[in-house]
Amino acid sequence: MADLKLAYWPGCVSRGFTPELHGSMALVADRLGIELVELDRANCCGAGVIAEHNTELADTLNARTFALAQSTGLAMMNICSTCQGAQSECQQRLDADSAYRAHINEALADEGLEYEKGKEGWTNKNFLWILVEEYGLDRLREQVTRPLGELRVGPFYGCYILRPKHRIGYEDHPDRDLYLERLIEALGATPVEYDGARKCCGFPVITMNRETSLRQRTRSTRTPTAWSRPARSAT
Amino acid sequence: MPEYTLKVRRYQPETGEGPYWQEFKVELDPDLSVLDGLLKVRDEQDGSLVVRCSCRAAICGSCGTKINGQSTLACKTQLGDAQHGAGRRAQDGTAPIVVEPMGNMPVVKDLVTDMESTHWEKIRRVTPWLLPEGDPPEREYVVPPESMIDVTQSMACIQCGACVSACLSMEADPEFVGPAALAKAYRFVGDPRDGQTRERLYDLAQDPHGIYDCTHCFQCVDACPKGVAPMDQIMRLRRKAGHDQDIDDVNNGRRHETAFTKIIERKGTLDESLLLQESYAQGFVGKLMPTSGAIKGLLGSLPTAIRGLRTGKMRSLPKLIPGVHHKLPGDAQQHVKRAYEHAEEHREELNLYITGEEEIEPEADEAQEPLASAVGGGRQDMDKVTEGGSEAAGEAAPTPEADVEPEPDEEGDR
Repeated sequence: MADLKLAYWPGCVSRGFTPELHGSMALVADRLGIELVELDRANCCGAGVIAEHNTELADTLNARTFALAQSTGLAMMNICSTCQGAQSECQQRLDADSAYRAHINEALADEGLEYEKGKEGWTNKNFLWILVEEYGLDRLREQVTRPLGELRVGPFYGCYILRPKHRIGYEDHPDRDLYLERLIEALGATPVEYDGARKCCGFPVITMNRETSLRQRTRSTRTPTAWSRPARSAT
Repeated sequence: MPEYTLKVRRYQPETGEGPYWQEFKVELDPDLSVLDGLLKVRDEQDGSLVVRCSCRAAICGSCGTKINGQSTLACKTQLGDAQHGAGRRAQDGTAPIVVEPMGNMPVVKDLVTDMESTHWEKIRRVTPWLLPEGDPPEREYVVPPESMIDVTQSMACIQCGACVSACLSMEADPEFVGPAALAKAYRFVGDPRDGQTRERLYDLAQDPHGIYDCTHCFQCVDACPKGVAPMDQIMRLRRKAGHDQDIDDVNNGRRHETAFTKIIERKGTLDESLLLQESYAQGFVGKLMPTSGAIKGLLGSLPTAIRGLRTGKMRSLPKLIPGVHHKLPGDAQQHVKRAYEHAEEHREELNLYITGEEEIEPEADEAQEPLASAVGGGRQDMDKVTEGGSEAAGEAAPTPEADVEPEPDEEGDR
């Protein structure tokens, strides 16, 4: 398999309060020979909040990002669960209706951009999906120089790359909700099963209902079954 | 016929014992439902197993349960699929199918829950009947069909409670009005005959456990067996309240949403510090006369920011100062503005529940998309249905494969 080259959308928070997101990915991508062309003109995905304000606006903004990626001739990669979810939601609407797509593309015409459905098999995938589906875990395993050995790791996915299944590619890739466990195993560590792995972190309501938000955080990280037993031995 | 193991969470209050797990083995066709399996257990192995059901055809909404952790209808889940789901998670094809009563509700007995406090009471909370204005017409109300299409999605609800069972906001805040009731609220807010649209929206925006207590987790969308997508209805309620009716809510939700939207218009990417500041104390007036909630919220966020700096998670101090965030390079920011103007002018809202996904594209379009063959179907995620029909995709998929594929599928059928 040839080395991967992808149009890369870093998102907003990786350049703000969550710098480790970009930093760790960049080190890994470099090591694995994944070449990234950063989309520095692209805009925020709207995080579901802009869609809540005006769905057409969210669709237009993401169509613009998709079109910028397509203009590089490369498939797109993101590193944020929220970006993946918000962008997939818009992509589903854009792909579903050619008249709507043409209407949205009107707003991009001045910039010489156009989002084309399925252009050369174009996709937008999270780094996790790229690692498992495009790079391959077997290949990744070969690159491990220091297995994580004794380390026990509890995966936390985030809602937006888990749900809703019909919108984010689970028909074609039904095991996407198990990729973190497989990745942890591939790196030699042991995944820990706990109730909160696929729950919500509560962040979207932190400024609206702090108590609900923090309680959700607590429920997703501190569940009684959480840290008592390994999910399964590493294979 | 294959044999399935159903691992059922039992609870028989009259025994004085707590809940426990019990496994039953049933031999049934994989196309039959988990409900069929449970009824067979009850008929042939243990008459004390309590299950609620009626139509067995996903219409009555009686048999809401959790199967392998997923809230759903037992009659709509096929045994073969449930077995596949159980085996996939456990990496063991013989792992039992786990059947539990719904969540977020008290269990009455075995798989039967009491839906009163977290479902029916909340449904009544949103005044689930029409409140027309003025004198009733002499004959029936006449409504153009297109104005009712918008609410057909929320009308599809069968009150099974699967969304309530799955709701992560309700798990943290039992007072949350919840997905089923809010979807029902939209059914009347969106009804052109109703005369209390504003009052309904005001009521749900002023309830701290109302429309702005939903955390966007999509659990209800995956749980709903009828495609109601309650979360989408909640977002519609927010749009109607905030944009159409100009209602400020007690949770600060609308301020957060408008602050976010404005920042992207000005900067292209998110200025997180500015978002925090503007969510609580919006604009000049907000800063001149901050509400007590705003002061509390901003002060409450300080320890997190300071901890971020101390641990090195926050790399630079300027990131903490609202407004210093960079704009997009070159003329990109103007083009983002252009996108805003276009979208705010039209505000089109495409609802795929109503319009559906476009069928296979007509022949005239085939010539337009020859590029699809370059990479073929290998990387297709979202477009399977439509692309499969185009000539280009047809060429990309080699015919030998197409000939071979159906056979293993048939043999794999248990």
